Amino acid sequence: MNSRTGSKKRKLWLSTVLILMLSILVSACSGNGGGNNTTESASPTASGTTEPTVSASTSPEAIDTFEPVTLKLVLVGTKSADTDEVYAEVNKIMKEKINATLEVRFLDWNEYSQKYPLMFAANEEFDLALTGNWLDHTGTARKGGFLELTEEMIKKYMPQTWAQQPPLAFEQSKVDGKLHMISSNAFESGFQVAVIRGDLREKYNLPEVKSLTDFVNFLTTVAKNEKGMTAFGGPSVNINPNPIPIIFGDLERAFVHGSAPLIYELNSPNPKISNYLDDPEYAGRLEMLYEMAQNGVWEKDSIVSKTVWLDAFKEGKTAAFNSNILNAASAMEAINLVHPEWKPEVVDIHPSAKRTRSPFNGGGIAIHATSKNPERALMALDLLRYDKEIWDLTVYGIEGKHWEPVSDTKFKSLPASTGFPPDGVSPWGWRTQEMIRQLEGLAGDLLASTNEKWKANNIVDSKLATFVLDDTNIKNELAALANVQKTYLLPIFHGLVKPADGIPLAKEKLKEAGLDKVQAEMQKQIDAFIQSNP
Amino acid sequence: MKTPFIHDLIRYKTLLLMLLPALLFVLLFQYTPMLGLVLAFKEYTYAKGIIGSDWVGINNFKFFFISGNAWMVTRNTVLYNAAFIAINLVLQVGVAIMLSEIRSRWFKKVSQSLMFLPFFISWVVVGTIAYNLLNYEHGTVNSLFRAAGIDPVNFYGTPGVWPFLLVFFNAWKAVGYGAVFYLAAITSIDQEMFEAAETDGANVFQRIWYITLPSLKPTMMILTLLAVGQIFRGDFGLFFNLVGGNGLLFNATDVIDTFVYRSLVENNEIGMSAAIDFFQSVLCLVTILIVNGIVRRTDKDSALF
Repeated sequence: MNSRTGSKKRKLWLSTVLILMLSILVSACSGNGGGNNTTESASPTASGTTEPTVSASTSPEAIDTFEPVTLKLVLVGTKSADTDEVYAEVNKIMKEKINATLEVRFLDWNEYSQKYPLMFAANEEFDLALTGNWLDHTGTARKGGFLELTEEMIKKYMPQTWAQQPPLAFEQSKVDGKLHMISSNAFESGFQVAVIRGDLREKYNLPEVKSLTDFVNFLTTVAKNEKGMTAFGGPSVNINPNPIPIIFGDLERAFVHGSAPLIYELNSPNPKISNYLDDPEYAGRLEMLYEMAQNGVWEKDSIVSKTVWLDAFKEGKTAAFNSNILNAASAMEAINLVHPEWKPEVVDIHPSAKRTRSPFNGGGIAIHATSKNPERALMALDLLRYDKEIWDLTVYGIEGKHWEPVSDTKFKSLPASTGFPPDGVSPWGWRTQEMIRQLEGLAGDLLASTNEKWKANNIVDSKLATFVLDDTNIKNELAALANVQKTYLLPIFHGLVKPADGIPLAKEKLKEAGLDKVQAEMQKQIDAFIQSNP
Repeated sequence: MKTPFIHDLIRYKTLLLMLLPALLFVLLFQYTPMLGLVLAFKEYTYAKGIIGSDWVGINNFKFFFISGNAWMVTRNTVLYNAAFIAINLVLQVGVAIMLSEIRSRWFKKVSQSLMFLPFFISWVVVGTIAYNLLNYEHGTVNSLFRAAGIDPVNFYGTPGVWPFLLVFFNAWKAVGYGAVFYLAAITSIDQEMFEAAETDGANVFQRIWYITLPSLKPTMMILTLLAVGQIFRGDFGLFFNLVGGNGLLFNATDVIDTFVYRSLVENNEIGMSAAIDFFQSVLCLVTILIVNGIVRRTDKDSALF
């Protein structure tokens, strides 16, 4: 072998190594993107420097709180500017009463859906966490992420909660008969209302919007006459479970699981599961959505839209917005401050329809399964829920800076509340009905009167309010159905496919993905549930 | 005349030392996580952990196959990746050769940087750029069409245009970056060969055809083989951010990764996602073994192993 081939071979070997190195570096660089869940090295807040000043009288009898502890609390939401200041005040009280300090970690809206489950999977160190049905409470509890709470624990460490929490709240937050969270107990309903631009309604001489027909008529008129404005954001880009609930609000049905188009009647004493695609009333509504899309009520590309429709409405880019009453009232208030000439109107377009309260498992606090101080965590939670001073701090901020009391039950927001918006810094795990102050002004009044009206006339408690589906046997089918819904149903909602063509196809695909099996399993579980909870 | 392994080890110790960090990286971040693949056959719970969770056989794979779309998304994944590999290869080599032939240093640097730039833009941003270009009501492209009197195109309702759009955006992002590999390889070609060719009267195209391209062949083979090893993995960032939840386009644009994301995003079943990763890994392994075997048969020096 002569030297020439030898050097050629060496060159090849060299360039191979070089390229391998480069490509490995590339994979190293690109690999970083997905895994930026670096655990923040939380700096321990000044804790335990002062000698504990435990006054046995304030803490429940015979509970040893001699050892100072730091409790880590995980919340979901945006940490606003003055949060640390507020929680420093909270900790002064906590320290005095139970010799504990809270260290709060916020998972922001854009990251919580990945980070929240990861914190459990990685078994990070934390004691308390916000939970609720929208945070997959059931799944996390079944996977063993939360500590099971027994009656003795609650009686001993959370005496006030034990005394005041309605039994239904305990009942509704159980998973498979076991309790893993202490839920909020404030009344709420997720029923959808609309906010519309009153000035545009008057401009086109339309009557007050009181029904679905009026609402659609208003949107269509705006779409046809107001150039440069989108009448309505349209259906959401997600289908979980129904991307435009306001259109279906009067049908008085509820979903069992977001991944399947299966519904039951709210009022039925013996609920039967059915597929809404078989229901002519729903087909009619889908037809109506198709027509609205053809009339240009929402953008042609609404299914891929990246617009935040609440902001768009506040900026005057759309003529209507739909949401729950809480957000609708605050949108109205925000517009009245900047553009009173738009005359925003909050309207319930299904005034006589029955609706449910949000189930109690909608929000609450759970204890991490591997918490080292579960007792103190429960005691802290009892204070968060029922200590008036702490409650006012965590919900409204510092008195005199962020808010001031108007009466015992009302409050006024101060300009500095941008640093700590009322109800805005994730106090949703301890919304205690008795503690709530009403915001002074139009929005607060509207909220209070609407809630009163609904409680008196519209709220029904569905038989299945406390039913939680056990998906063990149908996990595969639910995953497949979730995909079919997004592929074949969502375009129908957005009016991209004619319902007459789309519905049969969607039904066929749903059937292939195992809808019948899921329906039978749900019905079986529901029947058993009704039998044991008559 | 085979040099013994130990001999090589001593001889190239500096180079091998330089390789060490990358090797450790691969060991730590590619080999260790492989242990997690057992989750594909388990029902994972936080309480029992990876080792202790219950075995469920192949239950975790079922959702993928009962969906009726397994074949379609697998086919889409392979076809898209094949198109990306072929088109990017041609463009990257072409760009690298053109850049290397440019004599003006200034122009060369500027154009190289400009082509490199898209690599640093995340897919989320590219998705937004694409939306602002292609949107029906006020997208740039359709505004131009309207101004020119052409009927606007509803891109997000026309599946047929998406294979081209996806290939375009992928190339836009990848070409400048990939060209760097080939530029590096070109500079390592023996300059004497070019000088000799010039003396013999070869023109620029002949030089490229008979010297540059053959010298680049090993690099092309290695990079292509590495890419083929990933052929069953869809680029989630690309497909998810450009197509989003638009069911109308799924038949033309759905790949395994987006499909799995859509199916599992709500239920948080780690075992099921591990199952699909297992499926993809096995297919990728089989592919790379076959392709590498073929390459070794024809040209032993170019094979990866």
